[in-house]
Amino acid sequence: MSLESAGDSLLPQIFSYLPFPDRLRATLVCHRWNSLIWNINSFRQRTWLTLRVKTLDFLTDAIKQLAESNRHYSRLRIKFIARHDLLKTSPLHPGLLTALTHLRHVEICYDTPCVEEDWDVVNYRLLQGCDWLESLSLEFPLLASIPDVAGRGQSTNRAVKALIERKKNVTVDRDAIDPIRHCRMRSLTTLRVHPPTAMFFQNESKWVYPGPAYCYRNVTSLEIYITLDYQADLVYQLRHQLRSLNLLQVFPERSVDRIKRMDFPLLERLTLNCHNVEDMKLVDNIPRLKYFDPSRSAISSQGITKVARACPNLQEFGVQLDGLQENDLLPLLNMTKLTVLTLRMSTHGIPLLDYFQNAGKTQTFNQLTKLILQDCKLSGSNPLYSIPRVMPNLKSLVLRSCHTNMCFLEELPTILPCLTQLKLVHLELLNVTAFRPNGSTVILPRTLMYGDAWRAASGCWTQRVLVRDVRAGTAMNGLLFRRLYKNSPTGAYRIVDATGEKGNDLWR
Amino acid sequence: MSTIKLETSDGVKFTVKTQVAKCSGTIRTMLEDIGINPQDGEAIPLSNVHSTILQKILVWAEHHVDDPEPPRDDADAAKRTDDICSWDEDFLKVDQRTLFDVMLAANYLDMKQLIAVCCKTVANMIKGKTADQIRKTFNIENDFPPGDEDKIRLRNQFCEERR
Repeated sequence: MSLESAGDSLLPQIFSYLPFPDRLRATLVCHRWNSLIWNINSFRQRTWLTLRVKTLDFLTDAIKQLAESNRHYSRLRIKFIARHDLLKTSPLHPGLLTALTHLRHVEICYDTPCVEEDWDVVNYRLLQGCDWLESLSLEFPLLASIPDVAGRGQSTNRAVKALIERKKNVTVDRDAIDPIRHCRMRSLTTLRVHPPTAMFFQNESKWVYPGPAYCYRNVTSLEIYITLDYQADLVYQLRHQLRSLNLLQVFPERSVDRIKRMDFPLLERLTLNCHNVEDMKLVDNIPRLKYFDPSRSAISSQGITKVARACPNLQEFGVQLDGLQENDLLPLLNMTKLTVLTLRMSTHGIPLLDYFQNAGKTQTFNQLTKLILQDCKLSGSNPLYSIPRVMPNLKSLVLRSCHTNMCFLEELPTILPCLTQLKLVHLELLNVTAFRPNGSTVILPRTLMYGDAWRAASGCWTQRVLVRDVRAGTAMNGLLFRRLYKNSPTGAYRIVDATGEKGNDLWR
Repeated sequence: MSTIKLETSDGVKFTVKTQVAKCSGTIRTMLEDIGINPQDGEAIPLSNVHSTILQKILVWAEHHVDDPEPPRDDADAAKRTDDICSWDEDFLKVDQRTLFDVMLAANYLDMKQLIAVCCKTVANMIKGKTADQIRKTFNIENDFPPGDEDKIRLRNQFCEERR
């Protein structure tokens, strides 16, 4: 009797208890394990193939392996980590096309700047094979050496011309300048366009995005920089079908005006990462908005009132606190369906919950179940004390990239019992750094060590506490992390990606 | 308290409380759906289970008879393996052969919780080990043609987890 005789139904179950790296290692044990593990559907779906590519030749090799391995990855991320030289490149392996045909999600990113000729052609050659693409993401760092938009255009234009000239030795036809159209991307639903110039080609005198709008007829989610007026065209063409829009940058005045006037009948999620679009004007034409994140855009008390009136279905909302005064957040009480609230960037002295100071006993956020505090400076006296009063039904509290100080940390144990009045099921600390008054040491976990606080809290945090991306700072803190992990009440929380400066091996 | 009889592959008969026997999905189905009548005094044959193993499993079932049904969780996420209760830990401190016998028998008897505990124990044995160490631990033959292992290792380098 050995593990080998454990039936095919038992081994996958055993593997399901293994964390990802162990599973990956276990594929090396024998044939049967290898095929069993890869046949666990969820495992394959969660596995991304990332190719870190130094040269296209290497890519060819890697893809050859991929094709030979007979595994159909659904996602592929290609990361170029060095400049590659196309002219020296051998033709792509035929296996590449076979392997790519099954891809549904592709991310292509370049860690180092490369000339645009390169990415044009590389993208073209890669994307040509992707018949069943559903989501595509292209990311490149900006080319600092090209000073202005016009210059960029010429460069791309040159690339296109060069492409056509190279037609004799590389099999490219006129469609080569139009890689997206060339692919049959009818199933594309998510489009991320990074950076400002990606995917836009200058055709004679006019900037066009590749392919006419029918190429994108199934696109419902768009993430885009608008640095050229023509890029606003794409948004305009897609405005009646978009359900999710993330504007990363809107640069020209004209585009800002156009965007503000557009109507988005189906849009449910809107994220603005640009400062210059006035959100209040924008939301007038979006009747179905459920998720609105104005990100860093400033918003006034009147603005909140207006959003509350214009978007009766709003479920998630974010507010930039800077510039707001006490009680300025009270208009939020009018958003009756609001369940998730994000508060960011409070760097001045007003304790967070003073914004709700005058909320009466009847005025509470009864619907609110999740509160995210982002980039907040949690200083002053007990910024979280009034949460149970104002948000009695809170289930989830997230502190993200928050700067706390000793004062807050010392008080955490006293705050926690106060938080136990809430039936929190989820507490998340993300990227939280805490400074000693001298500003040098990161010591957040020490407070989490206070056993009493955890015991008091563990009763109510029945599901989990997530601590992620918290930097331990010193080996000493690494030790604290470990002890914290060891002493955790069973199932109460887990810690992901917490690293100490002494390396990533804190958890072993 | 009603009892039923179980007969193992080596012909040993056990008299067991019905409630305890019903920890096994297989026996429960036999009693409830197929309608085997335990009062007849006829033993239910368990042809895949040896008496020593059944003895052990009954001890476990006796101890866990009042446990609530475990919550259904999704198969996707890697699950915890450090939540084995200390009684179970002691219970499964046996040689590998017995452990796998218990696991197989539990599988045959359809005892989900016991299977889970066994799987967790085995998973803990696998965790943190290299392929070589795993092979040694479980006495598995490396049946990859030479070179294949390196290929897989190379491919694995490209893989990373995405949630």
